This record gives sequence, structure tokens and C-alpha cells, in this order.
Amino acid sequence: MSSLQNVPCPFCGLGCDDLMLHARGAAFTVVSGACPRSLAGFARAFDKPDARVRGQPASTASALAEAVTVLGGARQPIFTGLATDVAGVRSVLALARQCDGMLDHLHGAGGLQGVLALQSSGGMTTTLAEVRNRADLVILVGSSGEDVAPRFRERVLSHPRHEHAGTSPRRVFVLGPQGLPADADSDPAVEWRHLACTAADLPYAVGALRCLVDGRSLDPRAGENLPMDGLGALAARIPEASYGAIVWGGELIPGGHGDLLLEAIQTLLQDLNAESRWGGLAIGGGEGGATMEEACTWNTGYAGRIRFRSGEAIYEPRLLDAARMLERGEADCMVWVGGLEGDHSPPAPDVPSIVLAPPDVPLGREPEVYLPVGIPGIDHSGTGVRCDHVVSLPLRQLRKDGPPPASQMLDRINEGLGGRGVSAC
Amino acid sequence: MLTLLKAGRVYDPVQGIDGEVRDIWFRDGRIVAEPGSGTVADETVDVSGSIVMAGGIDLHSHVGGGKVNIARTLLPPALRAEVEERLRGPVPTAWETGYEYARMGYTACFEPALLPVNARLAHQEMADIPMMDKGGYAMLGNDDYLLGLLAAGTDQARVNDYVAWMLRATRCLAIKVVNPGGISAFKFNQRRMDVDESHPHYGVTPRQILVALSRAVHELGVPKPLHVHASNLGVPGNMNTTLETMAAVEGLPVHITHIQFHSYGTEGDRGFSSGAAPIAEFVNANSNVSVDVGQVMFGQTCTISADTMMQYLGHPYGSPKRWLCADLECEAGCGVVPFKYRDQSFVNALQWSVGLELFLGVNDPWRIVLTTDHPNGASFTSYPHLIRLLMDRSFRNERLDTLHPEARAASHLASMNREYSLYEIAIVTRAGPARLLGLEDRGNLAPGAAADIAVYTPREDWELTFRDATLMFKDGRLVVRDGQVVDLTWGSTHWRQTDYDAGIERLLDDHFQRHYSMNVANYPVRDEDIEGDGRGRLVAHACRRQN
Repeated sequence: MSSLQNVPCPFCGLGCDDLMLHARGAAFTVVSGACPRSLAGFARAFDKPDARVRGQPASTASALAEAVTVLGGARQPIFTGLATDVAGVRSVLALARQCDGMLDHLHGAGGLQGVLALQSSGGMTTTLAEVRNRADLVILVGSSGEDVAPRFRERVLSHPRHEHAGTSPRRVFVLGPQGLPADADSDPAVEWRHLACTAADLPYAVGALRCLVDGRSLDPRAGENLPMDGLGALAARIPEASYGAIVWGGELIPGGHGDLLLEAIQTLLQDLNAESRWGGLAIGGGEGGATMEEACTWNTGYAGRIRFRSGEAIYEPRLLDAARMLERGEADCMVWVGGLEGDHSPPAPDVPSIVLAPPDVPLGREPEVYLPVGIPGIDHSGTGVRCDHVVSLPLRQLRKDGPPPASQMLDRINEGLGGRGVSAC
Repeated sequence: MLTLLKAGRVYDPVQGIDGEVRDIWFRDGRIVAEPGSGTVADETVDVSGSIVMAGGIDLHSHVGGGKVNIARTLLPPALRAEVEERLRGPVPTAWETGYEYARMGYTACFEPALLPVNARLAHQEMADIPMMDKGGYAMLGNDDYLLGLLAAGTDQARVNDYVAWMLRATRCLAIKVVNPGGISAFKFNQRRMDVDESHPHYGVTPRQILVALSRAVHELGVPKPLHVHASNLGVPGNMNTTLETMAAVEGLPVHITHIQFHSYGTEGDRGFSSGAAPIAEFVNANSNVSVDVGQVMFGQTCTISADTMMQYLGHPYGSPKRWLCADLECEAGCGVVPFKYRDQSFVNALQWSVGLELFLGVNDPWRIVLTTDHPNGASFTSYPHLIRLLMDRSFRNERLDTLHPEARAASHLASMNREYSLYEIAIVTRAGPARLLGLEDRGNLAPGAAADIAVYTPREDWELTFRDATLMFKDGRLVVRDGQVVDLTWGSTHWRQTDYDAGIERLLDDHFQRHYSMNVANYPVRDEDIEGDGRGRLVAHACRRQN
């Protein structure tokens, strides 16, 4: 049985690259470095898939021709999913520019909350290796870590710190509705503490913590639903930390203004650094979210949620919500660009749609055009960006004869529309 | 195809050509010798009366890497449009970067602060800069691995192996050190660090780091001298630190970058004065030292630096008030602080003056390079204005007269009569940086060189002349006409190749297992990461090993 070493995993923002895989037919078993997401992801294998036009098997060429017709007839197409690699982002930007399209990653506002907070206040940030080697105090906000990135605990929190950072157990506070790991009490590497509150109360809890840290008085009524004892204990630990980190996951407040909460966290971090060292770290960024933000920013100046008009990118971070626009008929065509969408399925809108996705992605309704594409890091090589936006993974092609990369299909649609195949954003 | 650029006034300092009327021939992307009589060019372009130079080369410009994206995010284009008359800078997209350099007749720009662990992504970002050749300088000297080696007293040979491995893994052209040891010290909550101060954990000093890295670069035969962003950036009185930094390398080649930000004294009522004269004097007396200036221009920009220690210290002066500092993967950091330089600010006006005093005070143009440390002092799009300030003394003095009066009084600038010649401009914008980088086929127009050629038409003033190239050829292809991009092409990524003892990989494997969040096997940049999308190619240059 052939085994593959040090395989990078494309499925979440943590970007583990220490996987050992065994090939099992066209699929792979993760024998070392596994987590539920990688086990499921690498086990996927496809029969030779056909493209489809309105549900009928079609040659790739005729499906591409139909995609050109559908997209060419649209006035307000929206590109979503966007769960792809750097090459895929380059290609989708070029195509969206060619047809005056709109773009919104499947994580939408939740994905952009970090960007919006930076555009308001800036921040202080850190990365996985810094937290692993230095942080003796970690505050997880709205996440237990594992719920967003299954191996965060193993790879970061439980890992010994650098010799200069001491050997005492790492203190980890989890603020939010998420419970602690089942074996938290017997964890020799981490001293866990849960500060329970609802997701909706997270902004109030962070505000209360800020008051406690600053030594300001707090109206007792404001703390009624908050774990004030725990927050007090946390506030007492903060000045003792030699290096602290605040960590959060994906969308902090479902359907709410996670960016405002994040701004409160970032300004707290900025101020804590007047006396000691702190950094913030997002561990979301999966499904190609961080990749999209990076490549889109260097190409257009914006991390996402843009529309193109006459070649110019227009930034509409609050308005440009793919799910809502498709629901309300504010877009007249949907293009789903997948490969790394994982458990997320394309919306099933009433407007003509073109879906580029691996063959096993469930579709709510049959799109006008379906083009099978491969999974970056399995079916083709590429680059994926990790949650900290600093490290990128050299995704590998692990098997042959799979569906093509999304970038190739997008470039061919673009050629059909008369585009140059490059994005002069 | 054989092309003839006929009868231009050629400025090619590498060949010693100073404005003589010459024909330039090129074929298949390369300059060729004038063919024998009777040979007819496939295309002849009459450039009589025009200035012909090699394509411009910017050896210090922040054009790639995560910090640039942070700057774009903090100052998005919509805001830039409010603060800038034109949508040129301060932090353009990759595409705008290529277009704006090209229209000024530049054909290469180099990212001087490439975080090694970010190399793959930085190269992919730079791969989206059209028209330009590019490359990066790998940042070392704040990474736990090197600091650990130095703390353990490891011999120089192993340091050299590590540096050589890094050059290959990151596909970089040179090595840079930023605030030696200081970025790491900041992670231990140390807020300042001078040349002989010890690191709070490793115990090593910036001086030791400078010596080890400059020796490594020299002994490995990397032509580009160690690129040094000295300690104490922006601090009044830092000229002494800079003098000590230049002396610390004990005569080995060293390049002090954006030296304007490191040339401040403490004289005067405000405790802030120009240290340009003693700095220039030192540079003039020590031929192992080269510098680039990092000229300040007035207006909105965004400062981008790996120097988290000093960027954090400076954030209260930022404008608008949103800024970010980051600790990065036990290798270095970055700090991004938007900044507006004001001509009625004493400090900013004096910074402007200090930069120009350095340009005029350093005698050997081969050892001083024209930069604004884009976008830190100003956008690179201000180069035509800067060239006019250097070439036109009366214009310079008129501008000086409008600045903060105390800054004017504190400046020696009015007494400096020097005006740069076109020949000197060709040195500080092309021939000099190419020589420092060791790129023999760039920055000149000799047969065999790349056909990267800029043609300028003399206009009312030098700023207008250099604003828009009349013609620009990249590798022989016409990409700019009358300041407009007329064709799209992709440049090359230059990197410096050398060998190393494979034993270093075993040591690094162990270090990565214990301290990195990725595997050493997945760290190096693959060729396909840069060339995969068909945008440009890698060009490996050999080292000239000394031992």
C-alpha cells in the first residue's frame, strides 16, 4: 500500500500539513494527523463525471458553450461559493470583471468581519506558531477551538511552548456557549475554564471584561446574564500573562454585527499592548475563505463583496450578500465556484445558475449548467492560505484523471465571452 | 524581430555613455551589437532628441507580502480616492503597481522584506504585477532559529548553510535584516534595542547578528550586500545607532536602507535635527557601504514595516487612526500605520530635507539609490517629482521656502548647490541598483543585456519628462507608448542560487517539528507556485562563493 507523507490538508483554516495518507483505490485513508474533516474529505472519490446541461449529460465543450450563453445573457450575475485556490480566485476575478459580476464568498459577512474591524480600528494580531510557542494565556471567544478547527487544541493549545516561555500549563478561557472538551479536567497541558454566556451576550461579556481590565465600575445589572466571577478571574490573570492571545472562529454573532464585537476585541488588544504583549488570531478562514481574501485584496484592493462596473471594483460589504440577493431576485444569474465547499451546498435560486463543484456535492436543484471540478489538494495542485493569512500550503495533486481545476473551466468561459483570461483589476 | 532605436541620446553609465547620440539594436528580447552595414531592421523607431536609458530598477519597494494587503485593507481604494488627487497609490493593487511603474519607464521592482514563511504567497502576489521583473529579500535575524544558533555560539559555516537554504527555500535574491533582534525582543515585551544591547532571552546583540549575516552573505557570494534596516528607526538621535551599524560589519559590504529614517540628531529647541552630514561623510569615507534614501514626500501614505517594535511605538502619530501590528510565526513581524506627512509639520519638513541632504551629500552615485521606501516615505509614483528636486536646484529651493519655517532654518539644504545630471539619474535609478543586485544583464544597454529600455521626451521640467515614458520596452516588447500601457507582459522572478551542506535540513527538520506550525518539507516555494499560472518565469542566478 502506498503511503503519502506530510500531506497538506485543504479543508479548514488550520492548514495542517502533517497528514499521512494511504491510497485506497482513488480515495485516501488518513492514518496519521486525522480529524473528522480530513477523514471525510480525503475519503471522497468520484466516478468519471460528465458535465450536464439542464440535467442532461453533455460534453465539456457544449457545457462551457452553454455557460457562456447563460452568463452572456445575465446583467447582474453573482459569483458565490468561491471555495477555491489562488489560481481559482485569479480566474473568477477575471471572469467577474469581464461580465460586470458581483462576488461574495460562501462565508459572506462572517468571513469579512475581520476585515471590517480592521477598516474601523486596525488591531494587533498573531499567528499559530506564535500562540503555540509563546502564549501562556489564551481567551477563546465564541469558539472552543475544536468546533472551528478540529486539531487546534492538539496542534496549538496542548503543544509545549518554546523553552523560553515556561512549562506551566497554558491557561485557556472559553467565553461563549461552547462547552469545554470532555477531558478538559484531566488535561496536563492546559488549565481550562469555561465562561458560559450566549452568543448574543458575547459583546456584553467582552465589554464587561474591558471594564474590569480598565478598573472601571460596572452597573451590576449589566452583568446579570454574564459569568462575572469568571470574567473577574480572567481579568486578574491578564496582567500576569507574559504573552496573551484572543482567538475567535467564524461568524461571531450569527446574522449580527460580528465586526463590531471584533472591533471591541481588537481595540482591547491594542491597548493591552501598552503594558504587555498580546495578539488576536482568527481560526476560521476555511472553505478557501482566507485564500479568497488574500488574492482578492492584492488584485482589487478589497477582500471580497465587490461588484465590477466597467472594470472598476466597487466595495459593498454590507449590501452584497449572495444568499439575500438571490432570495430577493437582485441577481439574475448565479455562478457557484467550488472545490473546497466541504459540507456547504450551492443555493438553489430561481435564476439561471452555473455550478462548478466536485461531483459529490449535493445540489438543491439541477442547474442550467453543471461542470465537474476537482478538489484542490487532491485532484490538482495549487495554493491555499491558512487562517492567519501568513502561511500558505503547497497543495498537491494526489491522484490523476480527476475533474479539472475550477480555474481552467472559468478561464474557458471567460475566453468564450471574449475575455483575455487575465484579470487587469 | 530586429528593432532599431535610432539616434537617441543614450545614458548608459555601465558603458560610460553620457548622452551621446547612439543607435540601440535589439532582437528576441536582448540588446545586440550594431549589425554590419547593409542589415536592415525589421522595425526602426526614430527617437532622435529623446533620452534613452535602461528600464528603471527599484531595489526597495513594498510590493508583495501580507503586510501590503493589510495596508490595502486599512486604506482601501475608496478612501484613497478621497485623499489623493489621482488613484495612484499610496498602496496600489498588484495590477496598478505594474502599470504605474511601467508608465514611468521602470521595468523591475524588488520586495525588500519578504517573510520567509510567507514566501510562496508573496511571490504569487508579485506574479500578478504585470510588466515588472521582481524578486524578494528574505528577512532573517529575528527568527528564533538564527538567534538560537548565535546564542549557542554556533560556527559561521552553519549560519551560512542556513542562509543558503533560506535563499533557495524562499526563492529570494538577497538577505535582509530588520531592526536586528529587535522584532523578536518586542515579543518578549522589550520596547527599544540599540546596537550593543542584549536580546532579553538569547543574549545576542544586534551587532552580533549584523556580523553573522553580513559574513554569511559575503562568504556565500551573494552579490547584493546584506540589506539592513537599522535599529531605532525614526528616533531622534538615531544617527549614532546608524553610524555604529555601518561600522559593525567590520568593512564587509553592507547596504543601509531608507537611511533618511535613520539620520536624525537631537540638536535644537525641539530636540530633532538633521544628521545627514555625518552620515554622508561616513558613507563617502567607507566604500563598503551603500544606501538607499527612503525620501519623504508630503501627503497621505501608509507605513509598512516588519519593525513591529518601532511601528508600535510610532502608532500614536498615525493618520487616519487605524493601525495593525502583528507577530509572525517566530520569524519576524509587521506593523502597518497609515501616515500623513505635512509640509507645515516641523518634523515632516525636516525629514524631507534630510533625505535630500543625503542625496546631495553622498558623492558616489553608485552607492546611493533613489527610493521612497514605497509606500513608507511616499508612493513610488512620486519618483518623477523627486528626480526634479535632485536635478533642479531653484525648484528645490522654491519648495524649501514653502515648508515649516523652523525646519527650513534647521536645514542645510539651501546651501547645497549640487544638481544631479541625467547621467547620475541613470546611475541612481538603474545602473547602480542593478550593480548592487548583481544583475549584470539589467540596468544597462550593452549587447547581451535584456532589452528593457525606457525612452523619455524632454519637456518643460524634469518631473514632466520622467512622469510618462514616451516608449518602454520590456524584454524587447513595446508595452508603453506616451505614458499609456499598450500591451501586457509578465516579467521574471530573479533569485540567487547557492548550495549548502544537506545536514542543515536535518537540523531544521528537528526545529520545525518542535516550533513551527508547518512541516519543513512543505516550506520551500515550488517552481510551479510562481510559474504555474503562466505569469512570468523564474531566473536563477549563481553566487560567487568566496571560499
